[in-house]
Amino acid sequence: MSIIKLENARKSYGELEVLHGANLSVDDGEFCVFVGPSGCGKSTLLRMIAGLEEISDGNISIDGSVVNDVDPAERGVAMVFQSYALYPHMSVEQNMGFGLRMTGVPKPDIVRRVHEAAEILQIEELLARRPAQLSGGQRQRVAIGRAIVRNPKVFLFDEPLSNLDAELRVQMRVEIAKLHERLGNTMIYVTHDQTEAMTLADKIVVMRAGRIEQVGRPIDLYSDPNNIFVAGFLGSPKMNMLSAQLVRRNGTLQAELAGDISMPLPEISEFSGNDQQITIGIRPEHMERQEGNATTMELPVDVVEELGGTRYVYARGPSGEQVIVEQRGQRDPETKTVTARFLTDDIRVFDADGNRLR
Amino acid sequence: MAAGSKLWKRDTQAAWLFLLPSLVLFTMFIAIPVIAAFMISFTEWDLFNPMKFVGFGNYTELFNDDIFKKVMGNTAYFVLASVPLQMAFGLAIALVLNRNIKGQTFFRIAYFLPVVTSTVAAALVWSWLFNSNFGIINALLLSFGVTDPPKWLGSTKWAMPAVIVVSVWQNVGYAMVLFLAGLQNIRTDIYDAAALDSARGWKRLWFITLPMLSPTTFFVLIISIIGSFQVFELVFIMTKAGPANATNTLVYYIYQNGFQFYQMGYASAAAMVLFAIVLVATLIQYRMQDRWVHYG
Repeated sequence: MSIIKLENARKSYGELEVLHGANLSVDDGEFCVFVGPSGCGKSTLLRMIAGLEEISDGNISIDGSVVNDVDPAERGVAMVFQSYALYPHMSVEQNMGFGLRMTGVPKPDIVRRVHEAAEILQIEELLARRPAQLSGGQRQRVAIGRAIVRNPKVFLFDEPLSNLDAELRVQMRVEIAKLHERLGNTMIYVTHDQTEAMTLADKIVVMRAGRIEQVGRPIDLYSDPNNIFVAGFLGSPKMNMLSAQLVRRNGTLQAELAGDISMPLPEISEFSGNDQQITIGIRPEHMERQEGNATTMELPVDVVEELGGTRYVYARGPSGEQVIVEQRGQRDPETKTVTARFLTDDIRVFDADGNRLR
Repeated sequence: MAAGSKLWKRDTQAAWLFLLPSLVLFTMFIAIPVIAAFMISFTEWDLFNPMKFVGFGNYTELFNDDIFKKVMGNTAYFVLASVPLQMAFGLAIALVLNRNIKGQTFFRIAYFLPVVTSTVAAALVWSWLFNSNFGIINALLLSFGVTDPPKWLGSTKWAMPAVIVVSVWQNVGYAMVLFLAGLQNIRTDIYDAAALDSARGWKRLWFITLPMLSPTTFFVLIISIIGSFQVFELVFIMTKAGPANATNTLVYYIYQNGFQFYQMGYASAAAMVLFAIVLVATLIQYRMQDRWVHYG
């Protein structure tokens, strides 16, 4: 059952439209991640769901009723901010209980619920402190605790980990996943970090320039992207992109690259004639297939990044584009060339506008 | 180590060089006069004849001086009325002008203008406004049906309120500017969090805005108290401390004794009392700030 529904939701500031009609439905209990580069409108969309930004056109429904004009506090949502947004003049306990206090919940209930939330997050010993006396990670826990205390239908997270250092970020990421497991509430999470999106989400919403590009399960988006943007945004290192011409020769589809290299392509139903300009995408981890009937390319090496178990070989493609080959195991460190071997099934084909050809 | 200490020496010399101009001015116009006044307060001196050491004579005389007691009462009245009013109006105007209203800049300038207006000029104009026969204030009161409007500056009861009104009018812009700056320093995400926590309107003002503004409020309070204790020009122009010392305040009394009665020792002793009061008031404020001032 869907708990949040966006129907053609738009946002504009005067003449400038920043969100061009978003349609989305988030299921009850789902962990949904909005991901995209900065300025893509993901935070704006989240703030519209929270009620902190007005919706210019369209509808936002929560739990079956349209909330376009409903006060943020009445929407049954709680939000965790990037900056934590804790009240500096209140203790941790007062911060967490503030929302309940404002809605007239009796004091013993507030105390009980604050302590329950503090127990979940293991911050009981911090309850008497002020935010200024806490570390970044502790503040983030308090901010999450403040959201838990309100027992919302939907949790909204606005880049909650981006102010933390790398190690703490990984740790908190795991904790947020556990928290979702434990509480089972719907969570909407905004991030620009594709790793966070891939690891946390049940459903990823990839956004760019005020539009939703694709929605789906992380693995589906990763292996079956609708366009070159989604393909390039998800995955690290990025998918290799090579420009080519699409031709049909002897009944099979072929890509012709610079330097007289040609290779077979997976079948495409939308073939629209020879010499169409295309981009073919192959992920770095698919560039060294041992098995099957692989296409091979000999490429000059620029740089090698040795990570121990894995190495990334930065090579140059036929038209000079960067090609990353992910290798496993020990290799010759002085290598000047690398042989890329990839399967036809690993190739994704995009047209000149970046749309996927299937 | 040798190179390090050389560098340190050079840095220290540079520091002194930069400090020198303000240090010279401070010494000449603040430190020396303050010390001199402290010394003079133990003497009898009329500027022309040699000083005569009188110990604590001036101080004992002060505490038995009925006019001085009245002056102290007047000063307290003035401070206790004008400081809260300045702050309350300054805050209220700042809260209104902090919103995105039309003519925001115009109103900000309008409310700040009295601060930069010459006190003497303003006081003169206000004296005419308060004039009991020809003033616009009484003309208005009469037209509204008040049959016997106050004599204002000529009345022992109403002269002080009139001076307070002008003082508030003049200083409210200063408080407003400081409060506006304070309000704009409050991060918007705090208000976002408050919106989700059902803190709206007055609740938001009371539980979020005012506590977040407390460092500004503290600063405005200290500055206004110090400023109010030193009120002089308004009294000098509007009432000359009259009628019957009804508006005589500490600084005016110091001026009277020093430059009208040529009792420099006595005036200096009164100045020391003023200094002590302001010092104690400020110290108390600093002590109290832990209870209500929250820094970020």
